[in-house]
Amino acid sequence: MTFVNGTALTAAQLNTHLRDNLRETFPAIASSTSPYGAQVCQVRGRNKLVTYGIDSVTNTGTIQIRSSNYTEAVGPSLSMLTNKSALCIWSVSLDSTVDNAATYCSIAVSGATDIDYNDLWSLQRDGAPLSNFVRAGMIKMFYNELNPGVNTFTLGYRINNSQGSARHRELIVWGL
Amino acid sequence: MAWTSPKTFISGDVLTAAELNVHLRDNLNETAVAKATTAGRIFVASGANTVAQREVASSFTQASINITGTSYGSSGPTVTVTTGTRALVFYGCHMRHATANNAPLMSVSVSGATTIAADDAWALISDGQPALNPIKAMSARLFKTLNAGSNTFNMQYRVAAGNADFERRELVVIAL
Repeated sequence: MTFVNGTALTAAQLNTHLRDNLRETFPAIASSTSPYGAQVCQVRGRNKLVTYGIDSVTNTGTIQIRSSNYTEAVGPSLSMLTNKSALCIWSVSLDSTVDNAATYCSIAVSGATDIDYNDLWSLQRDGAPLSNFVRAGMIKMFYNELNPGVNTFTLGYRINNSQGSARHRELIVWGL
Repeated sequence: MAWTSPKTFISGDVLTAAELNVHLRDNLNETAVAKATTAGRIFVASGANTVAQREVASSFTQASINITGTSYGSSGPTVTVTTGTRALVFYGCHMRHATANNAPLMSVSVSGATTIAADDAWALISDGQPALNPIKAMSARLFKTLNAGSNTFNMQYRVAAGNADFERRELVVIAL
């Protein structure tokens, strides 16, 4: 409101314009802990803020990849509260037990949303001699594709020939 | 001054200067707009009802360096930012080994308020390439155990054996 000289300031006005508006600011909604990692302030809508998280999960162990489908070898997973979008970044070390086999690592979404693994957004290693690891990163922005709520992001692996393995796996998710 | 939960005003009560200073002045001083100083910065929750301005910074070095060491060394580029306990770090380069089927490795270490040695667990690795055949790729790491303060992120390099060239090296840090 715009204050006017000579007009009495009421408790109701202070509660609406001072108390309630301050409760919508970032410090009012910032908490010391979050189940979803670091909190970044984002715009929820007109005059509305929300905090979403940035978090990661790592698994340094080795997982064997024996299938040409993504369903057999999976993990790690990370659950994140999101609106309609999320930025996912993953880095994995991949190899194969035969020369020139293609190993893939993709990401799927479950929970509030169901999105299957897809080579279109996979990290791929191909053409290398057997038992030679390549570790690199991949990025996928699920842009306005998610149902708001808690979505679980899971890495999955497949190979087009024989078998391979994945290790030193890290998945980072930024809820948006 | 710290944030105070905005009070509920009651009709008939006298509004005092002290109340306005606590609930209006001091709370407004805790908002992001009050703390914003530099264009391009972001805000994160740094504690309960506390927000902090953070930097997104990067450094790029085009020049090539030749690495012969089997332990991580030869830093560069580096990025120094003020962080809380976390930072999201992206790193990429163009790398090639002088000998077929040998691995160049590039990782990130932390110094300053925190000491974390570079590690293969979050390295960019390319093994099994023919001699002098480069790859240009990236990896990422969410560091979650930093000591809050000024932290310096360093790209570092090693080889499994022989020697390799690293060039077009880029480091991006989002302080959280």
